[in-house]
Amino acid sequence: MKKLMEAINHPVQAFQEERKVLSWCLVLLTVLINAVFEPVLRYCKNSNQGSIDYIHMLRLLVLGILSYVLICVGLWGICKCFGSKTTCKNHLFSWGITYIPTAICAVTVTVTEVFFYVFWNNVIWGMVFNIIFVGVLIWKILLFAIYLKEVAKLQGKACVGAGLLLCVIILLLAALNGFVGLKTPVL
Amino acid sequence: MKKNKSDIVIEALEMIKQDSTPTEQQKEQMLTYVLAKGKVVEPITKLEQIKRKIVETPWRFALLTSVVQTMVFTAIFGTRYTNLFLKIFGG
Repeated sequence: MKKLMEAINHPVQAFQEERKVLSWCLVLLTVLINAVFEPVLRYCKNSNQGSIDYIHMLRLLVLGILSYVLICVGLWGICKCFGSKTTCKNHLFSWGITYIPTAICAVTVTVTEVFFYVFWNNVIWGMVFNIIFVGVLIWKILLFAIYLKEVAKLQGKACVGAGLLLCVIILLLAALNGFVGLKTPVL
Repeated sequence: MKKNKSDIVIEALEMIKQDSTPTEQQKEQMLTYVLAKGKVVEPITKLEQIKRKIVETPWRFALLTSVVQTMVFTAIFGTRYTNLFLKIFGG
C-alpha cells in the first residue's frame, strides 16, 4: 500500500526505482477487473440470464496480458527508433506503473455498463463519472509524457515524435482490445 | 655586527610576511566577491514551477482540470453532456 501511494504521489521516483512487482500487480489487477470482475458483476445483476462463461474469462485474461506485452514491445521499438537505450525488459517492468488510472477506469466502465440505467439522466452521478473519466484520461496522458522522459529518456523533438507515433499505435491497439472483448484497453 | 645582520634579516622577513598577507580592506573585498559568486542562482519562472508541480503529482492537476470542465460544461449543457459520457463509456 505504501509503495502504491508513493507511485501515485511520486511517479517520477517510481519510474526511476523500477518497481517491478508493483508494475505487474497493477497490470494483473486491470486485466482481472476486465476479465473477472465485469462478468461476475453482470451475472450478479442478471443471475437469471445464463451462467458465467469461464472460457471467455480465461481468454480475456490471456489477451489482456498479451495486450500489455504488445504495448511494451511497441514502446521499446518506437523509442529505440528515436534514440532511446532503454531495454524491452525495462519497459515490461516499468510501464505497468502507469496502470493506476487504467485500473480506476476499468472499475468505472464496469459499474457504468452494468448499472447504466441507474445513472442515466442523473446529474450528480453523471458529473461524478464525468470527473472520473476525464480525470483518468488526463492522468494517463501525463504519466505517458513523464514515462517517455524518465524511462525512455527521450528529449525535445524525439519525445514529441515518439509520443505521436505511439498515440497512433495505442489507438490501433485500443480498437483491437475492444474487438476481442476487453472493454477497458489494457494499454 | 652579527646582531645587526640578524636584526636586518628578521626585519626583512617580517616585512615580506606583512606584504604577503592581505589588508583588512582586501579581506573585505575578497569576502564580498566570494559571497556574490555563491549567490548566483538560475531564476525559476512561474511556468517552470507549475510544470514541476504537475510532474510531481499529476493526479492533482488531472482531477482539478476534470472537475472544472465538468462543472462548466454541465452548467452549460446539463444532463445532455453527462449522458454523452455515459453513452460513450458505459455502452
